[in-house]
Amino acid sequence: MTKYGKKYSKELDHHLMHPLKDSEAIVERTLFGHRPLILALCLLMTCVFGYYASNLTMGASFEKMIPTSHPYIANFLENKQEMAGLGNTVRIAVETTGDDIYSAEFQETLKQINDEVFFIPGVDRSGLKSIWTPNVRWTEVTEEGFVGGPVIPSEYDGSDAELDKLRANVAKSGSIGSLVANNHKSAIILAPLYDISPETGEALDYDQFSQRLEALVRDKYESDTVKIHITGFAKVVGDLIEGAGQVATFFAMAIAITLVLLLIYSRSLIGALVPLICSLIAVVWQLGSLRLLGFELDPYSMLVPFLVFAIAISHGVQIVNSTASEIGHGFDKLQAARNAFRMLYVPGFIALLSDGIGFITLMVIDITVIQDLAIAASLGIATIILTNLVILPVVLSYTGVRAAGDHFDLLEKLWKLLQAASRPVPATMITLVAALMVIWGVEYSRDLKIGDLDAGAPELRPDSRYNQDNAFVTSNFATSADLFVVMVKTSDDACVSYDTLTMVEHFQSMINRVPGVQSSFSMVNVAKRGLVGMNEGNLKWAELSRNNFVMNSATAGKHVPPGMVNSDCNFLPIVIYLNDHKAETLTRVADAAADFAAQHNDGSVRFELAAGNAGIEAATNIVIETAQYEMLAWVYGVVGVLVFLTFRSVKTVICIIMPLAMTSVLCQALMTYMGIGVKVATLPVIALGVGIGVDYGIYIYSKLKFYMDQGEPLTDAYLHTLRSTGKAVAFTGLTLAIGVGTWAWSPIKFQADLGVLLTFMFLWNMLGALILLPALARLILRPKELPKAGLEPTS
Amino acid sequence: MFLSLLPPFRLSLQKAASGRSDLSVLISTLVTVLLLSVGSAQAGFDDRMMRPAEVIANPERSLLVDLIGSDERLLAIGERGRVLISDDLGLSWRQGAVPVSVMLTGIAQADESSFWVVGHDGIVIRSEDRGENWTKVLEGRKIVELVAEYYRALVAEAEADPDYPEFELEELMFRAEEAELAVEDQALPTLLNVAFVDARHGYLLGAYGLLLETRDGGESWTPINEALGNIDGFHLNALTVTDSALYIAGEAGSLFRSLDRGQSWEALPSPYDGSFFGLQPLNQDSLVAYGLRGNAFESRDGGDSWQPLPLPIKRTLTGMAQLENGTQILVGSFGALLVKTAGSEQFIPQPLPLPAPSMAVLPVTEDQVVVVGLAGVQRVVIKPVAAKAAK
Repeated sequence: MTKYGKKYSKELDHHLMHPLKDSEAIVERTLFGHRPLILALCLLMTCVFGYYASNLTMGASFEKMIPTSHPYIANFLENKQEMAGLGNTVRIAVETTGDDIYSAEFQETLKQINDEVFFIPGVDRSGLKSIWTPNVRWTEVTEEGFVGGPVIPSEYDGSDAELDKLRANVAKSGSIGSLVANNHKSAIILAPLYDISPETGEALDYDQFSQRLEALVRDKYESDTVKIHITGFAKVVGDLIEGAGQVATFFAMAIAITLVLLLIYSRSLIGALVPLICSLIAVVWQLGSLRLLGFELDPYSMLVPFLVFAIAISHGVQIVNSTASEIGHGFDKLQAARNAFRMLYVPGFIALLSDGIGFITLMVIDITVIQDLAIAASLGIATIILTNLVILPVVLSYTGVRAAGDHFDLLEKLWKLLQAASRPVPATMITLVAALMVIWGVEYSRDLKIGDLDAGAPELRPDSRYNQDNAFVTSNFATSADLFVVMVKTSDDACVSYDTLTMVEHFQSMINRVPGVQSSFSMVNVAKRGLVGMNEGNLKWAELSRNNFVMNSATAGKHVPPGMVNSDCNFLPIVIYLNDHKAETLTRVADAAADFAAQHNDGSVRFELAAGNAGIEAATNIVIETAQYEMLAWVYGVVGVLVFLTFRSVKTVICIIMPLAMTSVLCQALMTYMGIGVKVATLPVIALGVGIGVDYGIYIYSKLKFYMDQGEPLTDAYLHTLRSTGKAVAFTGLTLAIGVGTWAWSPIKFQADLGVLLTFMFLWNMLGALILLPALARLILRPKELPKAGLEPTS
Repeated sequence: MFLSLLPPFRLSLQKAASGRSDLSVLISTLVTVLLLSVGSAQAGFDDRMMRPAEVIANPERSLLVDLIGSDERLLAIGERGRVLISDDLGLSWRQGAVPVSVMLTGIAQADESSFWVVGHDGIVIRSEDRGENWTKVLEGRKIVELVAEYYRALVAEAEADPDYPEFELEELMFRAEEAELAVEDQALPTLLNVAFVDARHGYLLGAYGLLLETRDGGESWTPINEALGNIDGFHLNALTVTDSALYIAGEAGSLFRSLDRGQSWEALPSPYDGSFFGLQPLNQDSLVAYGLRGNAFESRDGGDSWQPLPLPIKRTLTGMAQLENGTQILVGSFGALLVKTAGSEQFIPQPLPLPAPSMAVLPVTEDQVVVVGLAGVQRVVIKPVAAKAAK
C-alpha cells in the first residue's frame, strides 16, 4: 500500500467513523454565518409553538393506563359490553350523620343524587346501581315460592311504614355490605363509566367528569347531615388533574430556584437568563409540538415538561460555562461562543441523542400512557438539541457572558479533594464502596413491589380527601373492591346448562381455595340460590340440577342480578373477590385461573382471563414486571452503544455507564425504602433518571479525554476537567436537586414521591460522574492508555 | 328465547295441589314434576357421582346441611361430597374419604360403627369405620329401576283385584308410567334424608314422595312410596324415631306416623299446609314439628293434635335440639337461633355469630351446641336468657 493510499484509507476511516465530528465545522459555519436568520426563526417557532402549547389540554384515559394488547386485557375489551360495572367504576357513598339511612329526608337526598348521577355524561346508565335503581331487587322465599321486587317499595311515600318496608327490603336484597353500609349509615351509588361514549363517540373527559361530580353531587348535597364520599379511578385522575395547578406552582418554584442559583453561579444576569430562557423555550416547543401531534398532557406524564427543562438547563449551563471560560481566555463574544459550540457540539449531541433514543425505548412497554410519555420526552430532547445546542450559542455570541472569574479557594479545595478520586488508592476504595453499595442496593430492592401497596390511591396523600373517602368506603362496606373477573365462554344458549355450570362450579371451588381469595360469585351461585328458592329455602337443594328445564327456571327470575349472563347466553363472568390487590395476591389468582383454563379449555366451555379492576391490574403488573427490566436493558443498551460509537472504547462505556447503573440500583432501593411500588406512574422514573444523568458522564469524560489527549496525566486532566466541566456538572446537579427537592412538599403525593426520587437521582448521578467515573477510569484504563506516569504531579 | 321465564315450578305445584280433586290438574302437576324432578345423566369419569370429594383446607367453612354424633365423634355433611369428622366436640374438623362429590343431604347411624349418608343423584354411601372411609352402596339409576319395578308390581296386583277403585288404579298406572319414563330418560332422583330405626331397619327419603326401606341392614332396598298415602308425591324431609312411633315430616304440611315400626303408615291431621323440615321428640309422647316461616307445632299426644308454638320471629326453621337440662333450641334462616329454657314458655332469639341460614343444631356439652349451615360450622354457647327474662 502506498503512503498516499494508507493516508487516504485512514482519512476515509475517520470520515466513516466520525461523521458527527466532521459535520461540526459545516454546522458551525452555517450557524454562525446566519445568526439573525436563526434567531428570527427561533422567535417565529416559539410564537407558533407557544400558541399551540397554550391550547394543550389535560386528559386521561382508563384504557391508556392498561396494557391493551396483553391477552387478559384483549379478552376484557372484547367482552366489555357484557360486563357493566366490572371495569372502570365510580362509587359515591352518601353518608348520614343521623341514626341510619332510613329517613324520608335522607332517602330523598339519595334519590336526587342518584338521578343527578344518572344524567352525568360518561355514566353507563344501564349499569348504574343503588337502592334507588330498579335493577336492585329483594327476593324472599315463602310458602308461595319466590317473592320479590325493587328495593324501593312501589308505593313508597316516605312514611314510617314505607321506610320500615324499605329497611326490610334492603336486608332481603343482599345489598348490605355492597350498596348499604354494614352500619346502615351510608348508601352507595355505583356508577360504571364509559371510556368512550357510545352515543357521541367522544372520550370521557375525566377533568370535567370529576368537576361535575364535585359540583352536582358534593357541593350540592353535602351538608351538616349528609356527607359525600367518592372513590374510583376517575376520581383519582380528576383530583390529579385538579392538582395540576399546584404541580405547576412547584414547577415554577423549581424554575425560580434555578434562576437564583444560576445568578449566583454565573454572577451575571445574562449568564442566568440566557440558559433559563432557552430551556423554557425548549419546553414551549415540546408542549406545542405535542399539541400539534394531537397529544394531551396526562397527569401521569406531567413531570415530562419539567424534565425537559432540567435536561436543557444542564446543557445550557455547560455552554454558558464554556463560553465564559473562552471569554476569560481573551476571545471575543462571537469567537468564544463558536469555540464553546465547537467543544460541546459532539458530547452534547451524543448526550442528547442518548437521552432521546433512551426515552424512545420506553415504547417497548405496551401501555399507552408510557408510550405517550416516551414520545413527549423524546420530543422534548429533540427540541433541546435545537434550543440549547444551536440557538443558545448564537444568542451568547450576541450577548456574551461575564468571563469566568478567578477560582474560589473553597471551590479549588473541593476540586483538589475530588481530584483524589483519580488516584490509585482512593480509586480502589471508591470502587469497592460503590460495588458494595450496588450489591446492597440489589439485595435491598428485591423487596421492591410491583403495583399498589396500599388500599387507597398512592398518587395522593394518605390524608387527602380521596384517600379519606376510600378509607371510609373500605371500612364501612364489607364487599371487597378488588374484583378479579374470569370470563367464561360457551356455545350459544349453553350459558346455564348443567355442563357449563358444573365446570364453572369446579373452577370456583378451585379458586376459592387460593390464598387471598375471599369468595367468588357467578351464575352457579345464582342458580343454587334459585334452586334453594324454588324449594322453599331448603339448602339441601343447593346443587346444580342435571335437568336443563330446572336450570333455566333457577337462572331466570327475580333473584338473578343483571349482568350474570349475556343475551346470547354464551358468556358468563365469574367474579372473584380478593382480600387486596397486592401483586402476590394477583399473581397467585391469575396463575391458578390460567392453570385451570389450560387444563379445561379444550371443551365447549372456555375460561378466559381477566377483567375487573384486579384482573386489569394483574395484567398491568405482569407487563410492568417484565417491562421494568426490558426497559432498563433497552435504555442502557442504546446509551451504551451510542457512547461506544462516540468514544470507541468499551472501557469508556463502563466509566460512563457504571455510575448511572449505580444510581438506578440505589433508586430502586430508595423506592423500596419509601414503599413506592413500581406501577404505570412510577415505572418510567428510573429510565428518565438514566436520561438526566448520562450527559454528566459524557461531558466529564469527553473533557477528561481532551486533556489526556493533550498528554496530561489522569489526575491533572481530571483537575482541569473539574475546574471547567466538572464545575458546571456539580452546579447543575445541585441546582436541579434543590429545585426538585421542594416537590417533597407538594400536596400531590405522586409529585412528592417523584420529587424525592428525582432529587436523589440528580444528586447521585452528579456524584457518580464526579467521583466514581474518575475512579473507574483510574482502575480500568491500561497504563498505555494513560499518559506517562512520570509526569504525575507530586502535589 | 332460551332463558324463557319458566315459572318457578314449585309455584305451579302448590297451586295445582290446592285443587286436589281435579284429576287433570293433578296429572299436569305430575307431568311437571316428572319433567322437572329428573335429569338424565351420562356419568363420565368427570361426573360428580364418580369423582371423589376433594379434601380442602378449611372444610368447616363449607355449606353443611346435616349433623349427627356423640361425645366422641361428630359427623357433618354438605356440599361437594364433604363428610366432616370432629373428635373434639366440633373444635376441629377433617374430612372423611368419600367416593362422590354430589351435595350430600342426610346422615344416619345404623349401629356403633356404621353410618349412612344420602345425597343428590340418588347417591347412598356407607361407612363401617365411623365415618373415615365411605363406599358407594346405591345410586340413582338403580333406585329408578327399583321404583319402576315396584310400580309394575303394584299395577299388576291392582289389575288383578276386581275391587280396586278405578280412579286409584288410573292414578297408579300414571305413576307407573312415570317411573318407566324415568328409567328411559336415565333420570336421577334426589334423596333428602336417611334414617335408621335399628341396625337392620332403615329408610331413604326423597323428593316427590320417594321412600325406600331396608330390613336387612341395607343389603336390599325396597321402594314403599305408596305406603304413606302421599298421593301428591310431596317431598319427604325427615324421619324421626321415638320409642312408640315413627314419624315422617314433609312438604306442604305432610305428617305421617307409623305405630307398628313401619308395617303401616297413616297421614296425620296437619296443623299447617306449609312445609315441615323436621321433627324433634321431646319426651314420652311429646314432639315438635317445625318448618317454613316460623311455624312450629307441639304435640303432646304422639301427633294426634298439634298446638302452635308462639315464636317471636317468622323465620323458616330447619333444625332443632334439646339440651340435657331441657333447654330447647331452634335454628333456621337468616341466622335465626331461638332458645327456650326449661320451664319457660317463651323462645327468645339469641344472636348467631355468623348470621347465615342454618340447617342443623346438635348439643355437644351442657350449654354448647354446634350449628351447621351456609356459613359452615359454628359453636354457640347457649345463654340462659329465658331464666333471666322470667325474673
